Amino acid sequence: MTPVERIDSLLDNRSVVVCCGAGGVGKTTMSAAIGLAAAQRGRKVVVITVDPARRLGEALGLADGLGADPRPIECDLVEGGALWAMMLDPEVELERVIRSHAVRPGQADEALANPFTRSIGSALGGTQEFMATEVVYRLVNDERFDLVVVDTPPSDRAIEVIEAPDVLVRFLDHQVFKLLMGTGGRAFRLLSAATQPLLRAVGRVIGTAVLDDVVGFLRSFTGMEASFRDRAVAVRTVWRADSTAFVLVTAPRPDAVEETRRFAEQLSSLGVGTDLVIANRCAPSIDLVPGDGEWAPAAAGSDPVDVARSLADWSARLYEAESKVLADLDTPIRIERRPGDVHDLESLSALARAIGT
Amino acid sequence: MPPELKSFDVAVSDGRWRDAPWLLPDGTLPSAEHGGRVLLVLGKGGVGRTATCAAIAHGAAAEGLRVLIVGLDGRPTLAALTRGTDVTVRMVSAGTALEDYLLDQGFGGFAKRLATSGVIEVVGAAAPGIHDLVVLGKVKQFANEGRWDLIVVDAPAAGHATSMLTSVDGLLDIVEGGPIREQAVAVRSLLLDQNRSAAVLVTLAETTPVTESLELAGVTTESVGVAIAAGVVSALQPVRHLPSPDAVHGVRGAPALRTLLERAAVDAEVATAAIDRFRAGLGAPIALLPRLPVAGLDVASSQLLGRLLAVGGVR
Repeated sequence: MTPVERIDSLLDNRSVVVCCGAGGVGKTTMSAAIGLAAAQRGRKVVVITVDPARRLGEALGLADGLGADPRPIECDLVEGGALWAMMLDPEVELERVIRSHAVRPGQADEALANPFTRSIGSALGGTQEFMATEVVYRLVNDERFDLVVVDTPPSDRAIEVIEAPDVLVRFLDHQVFKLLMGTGGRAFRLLSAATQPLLRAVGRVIGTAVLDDVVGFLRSFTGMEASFRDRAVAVRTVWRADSTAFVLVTAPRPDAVEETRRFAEQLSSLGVGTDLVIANRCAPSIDLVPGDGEWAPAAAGSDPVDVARSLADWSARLYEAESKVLADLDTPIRIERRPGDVHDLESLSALARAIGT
Repeated sequence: MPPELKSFDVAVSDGRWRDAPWLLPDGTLPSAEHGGRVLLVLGKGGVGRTATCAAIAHGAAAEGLRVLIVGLDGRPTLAALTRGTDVTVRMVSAGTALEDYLLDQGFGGFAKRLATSGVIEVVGAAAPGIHDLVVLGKVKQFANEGRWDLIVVDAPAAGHATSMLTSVDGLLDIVEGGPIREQAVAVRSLLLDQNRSAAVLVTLAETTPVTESLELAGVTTESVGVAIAAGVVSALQPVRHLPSPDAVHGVRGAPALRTLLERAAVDAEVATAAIDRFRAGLGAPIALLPRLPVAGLDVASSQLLGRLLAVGGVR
């Protein structure tokens, strides 16, 4: 397929589009633009940002930002199209997950009362990734939407989002977890946290009171493991489905391109293919006349035509340098940097047109 | 020196760029009598944070300082930008820092088992930030060694930088005694000592990056208490005073030049407003760096940025 055909297929036929990329490449803005372009073709789209940044709200022209539930975005769309957006709030999601998976009355309140549940929801890295898979699962099964666009955190964390279901399954089966939960068989149960040497050593580092709280935290989830596991397995299937597309957003910088290549390899080792690479914010290709000499920063008071030519030369060199950098990628779609910044629906629409046509 | 950079070099040496803020708030250079001074370079991904670290290091090394860059992201970029120069690079990862730390604490062979058995992962959940703390502890150790005048820390991208810096106070809240608490107290006193630690904020000259950078600056000063030494605006188009698009009327290639000038004018307008807002919000000196038209920085271009920084960047 040509890049254009790949974009058409993405916007018209897929039910999940996952946007990944290095930090600062404009991934969130690109996710919003893909969502808008699909909605303009009549899809019912929800865009969710997993990265706790306000940029999605800003790109969609929402002064008061996004919440933990999808909200409709007012914009010009064709009949039948819709655009919604939301932001992952790990704390809100954690509470929802605990409430929906609880297996006995009062369990959710107990789990939520543990001091570590709160600190984990707000501070622990992995929580965000696990909660992301929960939300994606919910959105995929929500009848209001036929396309879920997922804006992931920067590369390494994005892999963690994709891996989260596998990691959760491994964790639930891990000896240490079973030991802490007291589900590891009779021999394990006989050892209390205070006498087990590994745990005792850990206690020496962080203090035994803290360790007791962790054990209490994990035990407050007793009985929920099975439904956590089922959910993890379901999301694992979503990531690898044919109806799911992975879009890698990159920038014409060597570090970003290198990261994109590495990321594509990591994805592929997880059994996930890359559908499209978009190089964002590229120098414009305009019909430049190279300057007569070497480009030099123009001093104040230089001849205006010399200044213009030196700028043209700088631009032409930049375009060439970027082409060299992008040559390492497999037919990326090159999106020109827009003068200024994408910060409202109007500038976002222009970007959506650049992708969608 | 690559040919496309020669003109920059000329511009630097003839003093055209000289109008300089330098890195320390009081205008002095760091020196051995401060002890190792720690400069935390902070910024969102993609704003040129690593390039700025290398530029600061080269600029300071050119002034005769003994400079160490501490990289936390495990990438080879810093090594590539300093190879064969007087600047030293050390990479620190959370895993090895934790292992070193446990070894120092007398855990002996147990350290490795603790770090690899998965127990630490489970417990890391209890004391989020334990990894961040041991990394900062490593920086503190470099600062106390006395081998460096300036230690430039290439901090992780914005969100993680915030949690790294706040991890110290977070741990002080939940850990009441023991080695972790002692470490947190020591790191905190280094970070809060304005004679020994300061932050440099890096941004692009655009609306959202400046907003994000100022937020990061707020967390750095208010929540953590680290002083801000300077701001760096990177990747600027190299012309500050653009001619009007009409100026190229009738010359060879006029239509393309006109389009170029029109685009550049929009960029310049956004950039000027962003730089002004950054300067006002940061309350610290600002240095401006150009986007060099090269396929990736190398040692020479990185040293050039260092010289530009030392004389105040593109004005």
